[in-house]
Amino acid sequence: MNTKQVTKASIGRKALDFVSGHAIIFLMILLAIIVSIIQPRFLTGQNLMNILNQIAVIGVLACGMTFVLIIGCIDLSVGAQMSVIGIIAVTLANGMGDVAAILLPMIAGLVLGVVNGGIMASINGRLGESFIITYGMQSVLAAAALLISGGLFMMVTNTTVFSQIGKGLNPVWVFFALVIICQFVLTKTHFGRNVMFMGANPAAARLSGINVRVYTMVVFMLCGFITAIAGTLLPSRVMAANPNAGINYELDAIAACVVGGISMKGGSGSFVNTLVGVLVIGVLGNILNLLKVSTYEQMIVKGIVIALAVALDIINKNRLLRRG
Amino acid sequence: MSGMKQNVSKILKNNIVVIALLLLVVIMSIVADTFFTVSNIVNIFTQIAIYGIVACAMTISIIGGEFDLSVSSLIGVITILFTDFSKNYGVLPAIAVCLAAGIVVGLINGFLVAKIKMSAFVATLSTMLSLKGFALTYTSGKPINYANNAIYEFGNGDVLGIPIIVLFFFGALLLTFFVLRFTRFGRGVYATGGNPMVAKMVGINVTFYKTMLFVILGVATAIAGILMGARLQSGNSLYGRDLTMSVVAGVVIGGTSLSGGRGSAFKTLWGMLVIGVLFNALMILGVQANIQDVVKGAILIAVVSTDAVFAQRKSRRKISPGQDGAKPAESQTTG
Repeated sequence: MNTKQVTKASIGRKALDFVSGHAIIFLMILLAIIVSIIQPRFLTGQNLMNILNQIAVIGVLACGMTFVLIIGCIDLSVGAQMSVIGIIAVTLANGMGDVAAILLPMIAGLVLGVVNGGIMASINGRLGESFIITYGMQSVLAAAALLISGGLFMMVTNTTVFSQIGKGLNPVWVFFALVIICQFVLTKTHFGRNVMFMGANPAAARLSGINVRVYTMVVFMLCGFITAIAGTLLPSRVMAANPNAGINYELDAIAACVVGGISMKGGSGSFVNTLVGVLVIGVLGNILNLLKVSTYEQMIVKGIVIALAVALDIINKNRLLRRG
Repeated sequence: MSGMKQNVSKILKNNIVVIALLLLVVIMSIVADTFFTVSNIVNIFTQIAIYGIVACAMTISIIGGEFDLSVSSLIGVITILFTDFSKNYGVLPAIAVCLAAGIVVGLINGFLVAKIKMSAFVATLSTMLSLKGFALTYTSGKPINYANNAIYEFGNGDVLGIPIIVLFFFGALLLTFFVLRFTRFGRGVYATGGNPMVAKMVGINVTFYKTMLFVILGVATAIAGILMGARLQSGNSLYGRDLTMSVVAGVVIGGTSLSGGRGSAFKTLWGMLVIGVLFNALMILGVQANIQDVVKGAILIAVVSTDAVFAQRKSRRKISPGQDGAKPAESQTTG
């Protein structure tokens, strides 16, 4: 009888642990259930497709950001990178055809990543430095986007492959594929494990023979490359490149990662976190839209949800830590 | 002889910002006649004054090891509250409400960072978003205006040729200098930023200090917002959008280290002056706004890079194994 009680208690405790460990997901599901009762339009195939469509580009961006956050840095320039990439992609798509319009932006993304990563690697920077340096880069690239485009919208006149890659559910498939590939790279490869180690403790990683500078550079390159994918998908979806298109996208990507449970301290997190965070932000935005909450009020809610998600995560971790 | 050489290079290195500033001033005075005139110098100070007040508080908070993204939204909120309340209830209640708002936002940020132990970036990112949403909701996204002679004088007037807002900036500078240099609180801030763990062990209430850093920032931003609202006679959620970054840039260019525990108020004055003079110079030379952004970004990158390299070289010299048998301590402090 005694053992029975114990098992019962431990099952209860395990259930509690599971719920509190995934508090934000359960809160989201609860909210979704309530909303689907109030507003039957929420749980329709059409609406779920809408949600996926809305999150795809941010999701792609968040994948690149996840790598950078895991090594304990941040990249504030991805939004501006997207603007620049979008302009390059559309110019090429209109003038040179599909192959150039898809390949060259990726190379441009790698180059931008090399610049960010190169500076970070050469000064051996961490979060603080990456914050300022990528902000400086954001300032430069946002201005560059305006200078290249003359501040004007650029319509996509291409009617072949480029005009199709952002249509329908294509960005969603790209996002899901990226999550799977990135998760594989992070958990199953030598590179991924070293990235994780380096994020947790760069000094120890250096002492154990990991070339931290090279890894920093490669991670920023990866982020630039993935950002270029997002930057190519966006103009193809909306059929125009806007020099201001990427403004605040970096904050959305960071918000998604953080809500999903990736720590800014580095060394923890996975692409499952990213996926969850992106979904939570997407579903929340959709629910607020359905409830006719204005965009302005949505910003207030978004801010509170970020704080809440992170606070719950920290409180839960502390609870587990205390128990040992 | 070599000692003297070392001294010279040390002086150069320690005052590189001041030297750069002087160089900039000399070059500009030669290039443009309109640069080195009393009215233009007053102009430069006027331009940096409002952001400078926030920069003083940001100096304290960066020394204490934290920084705050939300000030760029808060200042817009304050201009809106100030304009709206002075229209409906009078100027004094408006000032009271603004200061209270600053304190409340500071307390919220402080609670999230010091008590919940969120990273300052995430905590202030969330308050930044919420405050921006609040400002937009409050005004429905439109600017609100209110013209009043007293307020206009307050924001645009001068005492003996020195604009009132510049006097506020100097006041904030002196206060920051005094607090950091001569008070118990100031020493506590340095200790907290230098190494929070050690600070805690020697009995400093780190939670209190970290909370205060944000409250000070909230109050300073409230004052800056009131001055901005008075100066522009309007409240707008867009005001101060680039506040956080301009201010952090000024503080870092001045030489206050981002890693915390080091820095001073007057360094921030030099940093803000460099930014002010540079933008003034670009404006006089008729450089396009977009190119100004490019220059700003490039300078920020250059300054932070050199700062990081110098800081690392210094810390490596300090803990090099040969000197006193100490092991490289880096691996123990991270994690």
